[in-house]
Amino acid sequence: MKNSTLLFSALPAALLLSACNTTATENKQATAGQAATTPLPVISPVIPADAQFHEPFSLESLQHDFDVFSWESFIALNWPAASVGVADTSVNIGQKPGAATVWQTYKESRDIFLPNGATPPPWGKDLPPPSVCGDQDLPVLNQIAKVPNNVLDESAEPFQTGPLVDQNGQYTRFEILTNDVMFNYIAEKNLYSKSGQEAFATEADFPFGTDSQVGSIMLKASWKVLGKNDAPEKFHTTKAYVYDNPDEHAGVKAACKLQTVGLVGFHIGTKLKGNPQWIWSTFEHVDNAPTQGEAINKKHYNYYKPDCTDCAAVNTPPPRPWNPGNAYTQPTQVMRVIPLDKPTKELNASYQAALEKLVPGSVWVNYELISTQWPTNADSKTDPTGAPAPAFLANTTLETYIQGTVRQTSSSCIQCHNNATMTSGKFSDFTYLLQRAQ
Amino acid sequence: MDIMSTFVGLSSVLTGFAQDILAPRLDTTNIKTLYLQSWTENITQETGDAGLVNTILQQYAELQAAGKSDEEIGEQLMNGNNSPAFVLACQKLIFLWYMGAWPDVNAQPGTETGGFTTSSLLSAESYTSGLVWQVMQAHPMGDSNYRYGYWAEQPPALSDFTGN
Amino acid sequence: MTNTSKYDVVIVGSGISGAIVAYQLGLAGKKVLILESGPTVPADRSGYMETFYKANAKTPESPYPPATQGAVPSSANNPLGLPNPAGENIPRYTVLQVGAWQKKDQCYFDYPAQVEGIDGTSLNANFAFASSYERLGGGTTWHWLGTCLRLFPEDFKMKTLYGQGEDWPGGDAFYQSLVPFYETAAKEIGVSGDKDAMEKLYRQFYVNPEGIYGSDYNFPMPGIDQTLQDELYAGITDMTYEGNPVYVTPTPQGRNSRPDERRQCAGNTNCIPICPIQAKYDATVTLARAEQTGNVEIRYQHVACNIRLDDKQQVCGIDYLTYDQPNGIATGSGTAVAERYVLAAHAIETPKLLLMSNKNPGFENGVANSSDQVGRNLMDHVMYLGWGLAKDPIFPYRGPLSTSGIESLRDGAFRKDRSAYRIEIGNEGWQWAADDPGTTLADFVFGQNNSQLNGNSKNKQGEELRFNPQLPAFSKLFGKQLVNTLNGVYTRQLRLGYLIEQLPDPENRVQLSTTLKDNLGLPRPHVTYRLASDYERKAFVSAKELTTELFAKVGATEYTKDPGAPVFSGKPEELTATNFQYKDDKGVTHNFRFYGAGHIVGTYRMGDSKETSVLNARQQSWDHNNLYMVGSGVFPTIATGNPTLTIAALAFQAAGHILEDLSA
Repeated sequence: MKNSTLLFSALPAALLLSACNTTATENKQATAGQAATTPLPVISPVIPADAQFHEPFSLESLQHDFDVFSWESFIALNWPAASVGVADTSVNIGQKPGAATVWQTYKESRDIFLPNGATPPPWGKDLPPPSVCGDQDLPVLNQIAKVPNNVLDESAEPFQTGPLVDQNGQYTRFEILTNDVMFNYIAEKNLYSKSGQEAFATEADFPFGTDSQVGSIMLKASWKVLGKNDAPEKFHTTKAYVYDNPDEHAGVKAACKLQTVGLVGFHIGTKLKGNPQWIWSTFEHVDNAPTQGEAINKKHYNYYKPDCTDCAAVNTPPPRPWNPGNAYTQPTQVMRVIPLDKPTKELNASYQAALEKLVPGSVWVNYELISTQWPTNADSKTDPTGAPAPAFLANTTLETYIQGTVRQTSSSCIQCHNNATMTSGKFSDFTYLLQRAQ
Repeated sequence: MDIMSTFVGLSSVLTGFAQDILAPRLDTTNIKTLYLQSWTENITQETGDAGLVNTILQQYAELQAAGKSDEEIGEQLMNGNNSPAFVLACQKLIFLWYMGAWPDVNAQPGTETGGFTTSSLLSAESYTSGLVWQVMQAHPMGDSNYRYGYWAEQPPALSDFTGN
Repeated sequence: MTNTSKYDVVIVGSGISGAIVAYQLGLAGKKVLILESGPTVPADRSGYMETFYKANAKTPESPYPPATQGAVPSSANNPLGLPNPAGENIPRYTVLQVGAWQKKDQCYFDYPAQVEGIDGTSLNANFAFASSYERLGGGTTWHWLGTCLRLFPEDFKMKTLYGQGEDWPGGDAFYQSLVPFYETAAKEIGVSGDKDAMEKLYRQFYVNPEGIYGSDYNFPMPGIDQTLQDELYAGITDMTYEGNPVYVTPTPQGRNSRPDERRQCAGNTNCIPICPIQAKYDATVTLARAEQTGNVEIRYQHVACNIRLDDKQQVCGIDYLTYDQPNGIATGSGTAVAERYVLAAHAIETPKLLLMSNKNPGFENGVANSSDQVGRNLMDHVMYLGWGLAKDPIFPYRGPLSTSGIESLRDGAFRKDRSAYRIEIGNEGWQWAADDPGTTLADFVFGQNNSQLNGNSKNKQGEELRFNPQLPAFSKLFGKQLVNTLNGVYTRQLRLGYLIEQLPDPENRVQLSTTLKDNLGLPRPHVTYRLASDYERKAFVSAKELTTELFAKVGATEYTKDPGAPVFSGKPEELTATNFQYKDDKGVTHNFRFYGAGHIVGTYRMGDSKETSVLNARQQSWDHNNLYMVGSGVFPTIATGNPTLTIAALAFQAAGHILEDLSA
């Protein structure tokens, strides 16, 4: 038996570092020059290339450090953009409401996986929107229930579990984007087409970040159409073509409408050195839904009606046929199943306070981290998922109907994406995007 | 050593799996706590001997402190001068770790089968935590973390599963 | 409460056949109502998975409601806590009830008492039926394996070719008419298959090339990767058996070898009872497509209980009961009315419904039953299991439950004398055969020998079976020796399953129990089930012999356990359920135990004549021409392939007939 005497003694740092490639550094909070009693985190437009870890290591300490990484990433990605992929450092986050953020200039999946496997336009260039939308240069939010143009039902909701309908009876819209590192890999390896994937001899292996260089990032955002009873000043908003995609479900007719939408959910997947399973951060608008077992103390939620007697059962999708073009669909009654843990709530409060302090009235105080999923044993030879912590993680707007704590079926970013493959059947490195190739 | 580290050490000797497999430093399932509790409760209830579990843990701790190897400790515990109840309690702990289930042993010495054993699962998590799936270099039925086509390839080495 | 809504078609049952018919009618713009007795399809299968994970007996039904075990406190008479069917609104038969077949407070089926004064070889012995089904949205495909084989043309003309069983109506012509629907069915299911391997098989059986595949046809997805165990048998290239070559064929399967709207198979080794990631097709996929047409409405927890006929002997409504709680009172009732009616409630509940509908003048023996064939000819693939240990590790318990089989023995001149069979190669080690991994583990931890690996057991060839001859019998192991022993055993476990064709026998039948009811007051099925000819029993001898040959061929040691002689008299718990004997030509008496394949077939068969069948070749009642029935109950014979692809093809075909009739 190895290591028996070490079990509860202090482990050498190197042993632990292999688990998540942590790098011990000084506590950033302590050096940030904030008041000693309530040190507020630094708000920075720089996307972190790696997480910073602090001894002594434990599940709790590493969770905290990854959660800080998530907040830093969220803030930098949502910084107003100066140009494609570049933050406008002349302003602070929150100062230009409605302005495109850094991530909104990233490459949308509809601009990568084109009909007949055509070569996508280069980084920084987009395709025009569908003809039904006209020709204004605005982002197109054309995905419902995470279903893209060409592949129905993405696997993060593997059971075609259904659309998410807001309190105004409108379908929630989704989009998936990649940063330049990830897109360039797809473009260079011809992984945007079925034929390119068929010719690709190995598994996909996206570039990870280095100490200074940001690695592959993929994003998924959920938006709601702002309408009656919504307070636009509480959301990060944008104007977008809301496109009903006839390829999503039988019976859907192509339609397009320019609308103001508010950000309600946000996934960030980042490939960090030493973490081949990626790091998975997820954020939500604070008014999305109450949590089971906690107080229902808001008058208005985006996806929950308090004191409702004739609402749909909690976390149950509307009956088929599903069609985003319907004028009105019975709203989904959503509750969060797994509560946020206390340290995450505290971290959220400190970031929200820092954002408020930076720009009073900032919309970004209305967003919260749900959690960050990371591999506790990234190098495991017997478990390709690397024993993720937390074991389950769901965003109520993106994994609405599979929240829970049952292995294989309840939402776990790493466990599910571990089975993602290309159209050739080869492993696609934790992204379901590549199976959209034509 | 505290009781949990003694329990994990004992479990490692009996199961043949390394301590850091049974109880990883970053332990996301913490199944060991459920097992220590279940073992203690069930053995106490079945034998009526509230001290038996502690006796076993203490004997392990003493042998370990005396610098004995795992093999020597195992021999001493299972084939030494311990009572049948002591040995059976150790065997039931092995079964618990392997199946995630508490066994009911119906011994019928002298018959062709020697009796039979039924068992009852502790929880969904104890089912998926069973070492039996690791010792066969596979995965719990219904809970695989491997990828399409893995079954056409050799699995990782047994030592990767046992940690030994 | 009477339902006055008007639909074009009412369908009873939302399994694969009901879902396909509904989808096709919905696509054509017809208004369809499905009555499903069980609960709705959950948005998330986590509830089913959690029940499965916690179940002590991981049987095919274990994930699904109502609970199959732990429903009541366990007792000596009911160790697994099986529920009492008398208190359930939608009880169903489960494999845990096979052993409890004589206990009326645990078994849904009412069985006749065992015949007195018989011996183990008696052909009139009663047995428990060994297969089960589900009553819930999506039906029994929730727990199907996924095998998608077509039947052979020979399967459709058994009577003509071999003087056994029945021909399907039209024989060859029926097969030819089904070919395009086989293609449609494979597309709906999304079958992964290896076309070259299947063509090799079809060439062996001289299947008309046009009857194989169109020249530009291919499976929707490439074949599923083969397991290491498959490769072991694939090494057999020079073997024949009773005139047929013996070789392995990769199985076409209803699971994704490539990602599409569902995930790619990740080899959870759990197709039965439940695929956690829905890589395997189930009928909820088609059911969702049906609902997406906007023309199909499904009402769950609606139990069809009576079919009404008008004075022209046409069906004019189907009565149903509703309930809220699985053990609660009936909460409502009504009558579903349409132009046409389709029964798709599988081969136990469909005949039960027909027989319950006995209030219509002229049809006191049940609707559609002028032939007295309703409920008769109940069949299953009776299964022989053989198991062994390979010389070297082949790493079972990995991958889909079965990825290949031996199909080359499914037809031959021997079919005059004994059943044909296909051999399924199981990837689940001895889980089914010997209740492993628990049995072997308990043996080596507690010093027992139920696996035959840790005692003084010998196989029928006289080989000693103790896994490590260096260890004493009844060893109690721990530590590294336990690890190495268990690893050595588990990684070598082989299992073969023979799907033996059971002939139609009119006395094997579903009737209504005259004494037992469910919680809604509906009579429970009374099931008589026998192996009343030597035809199937001879095939068991063949399977036993071939298993020994195959294991010898691949260098494996056989561990198939003698199940012992049947017990036909005594206390209920002492009676065996599926054990029987056969005395062969040399005077040797063989002990067998048969297992179920889950293939419930034949209780409302098609035929050429209204005197001898329930349905015509259009799957339409001879007695009531606005009534159709689909599912495996329509099969005149069970044939040699797993039935689901044929069920699906027939459902597409029936949907076409119904559309023709609606537009006539």
